[in-house]
Amino acid sequence: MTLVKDDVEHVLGEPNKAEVEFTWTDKEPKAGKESYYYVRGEQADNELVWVSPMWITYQQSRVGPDCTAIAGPPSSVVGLTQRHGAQRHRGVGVDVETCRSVPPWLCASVSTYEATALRNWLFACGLAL
Amino acid sequence: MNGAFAIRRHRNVIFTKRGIRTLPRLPITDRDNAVHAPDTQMLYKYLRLFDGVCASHNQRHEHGHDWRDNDPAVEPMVEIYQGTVKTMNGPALRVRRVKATRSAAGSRRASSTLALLKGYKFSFECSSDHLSTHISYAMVLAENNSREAVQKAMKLRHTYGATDNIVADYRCTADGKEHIMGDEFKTSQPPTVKSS
Repeated sequence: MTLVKDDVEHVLGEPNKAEVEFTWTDKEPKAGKESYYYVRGEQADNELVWVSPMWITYQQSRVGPDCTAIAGPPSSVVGLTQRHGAQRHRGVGVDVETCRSVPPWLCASVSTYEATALRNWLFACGLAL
Repeated sequence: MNGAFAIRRHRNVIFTKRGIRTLPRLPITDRDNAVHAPDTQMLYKYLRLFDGVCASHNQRHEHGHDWRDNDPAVEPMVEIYQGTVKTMNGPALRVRRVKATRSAAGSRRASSTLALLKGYKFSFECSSDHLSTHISYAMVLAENNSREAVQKAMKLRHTYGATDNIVADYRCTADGKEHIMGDEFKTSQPPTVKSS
């Protein structure tokens, strides 16, 4: 089996059995760049399978020292994000991706106090809305 | 599946309803022109009007694609392998070996790889074309086996191709959400894909 990333082949192995399973991690993802990843398999009888690509953009987490140094968001933000299904992120207490992607409706559906707390915390994290 | 034949630009078209009339042709333009092909643009409009999809096919043939045009809404797939090519190129093993190493490329200009590198997004499928059934499989990961569900899955690029009845699964979990083949997404962690 072979994984192809942006036209570069990575051999996954030759297990020589009917059912196979592979896990592959991109050790050289380039932040901000979209890459395609597809898998090609060949059986011992020469039959082939081409599994369609996934297009993945790796975005490095923007949670840095400035963010973790403030010991997490205000309790109101923690409660806010948990109510909306956000997951805890690196123990900081809020899913940064969620905060980044949903603020318009999130801020519209909460109290002014909560929205202000969220904005202030995101600003401190370098994620100003 | 109807065939939309064009010299140097072949596409198979698929509708959920029968009876949609064949599209008339416009004059073929030079494939070396860097401009859009009017004939192909008309095909895209026709597909949007009648809710169809198409897949470019015959990549390895001399009629292969020039990839001047792509409308991801109505052209979500590409034929990565065609069984008939085997009958045109000799023993299956040799042809398949060639395809395995070249990603069903054909000439570089006509290849699916070139289109992927250009940033086009499409899933893979295999088609028999003529006289080559049971060696070209267009696999579709649909919610059910209705025409509408199959076409919806095609539009989502949830398809793959094989030369035999091979079951494949390909996923990636990104930030707590699971994605499958054909999907396009962002992740805050280095991508880890699982295939079986």
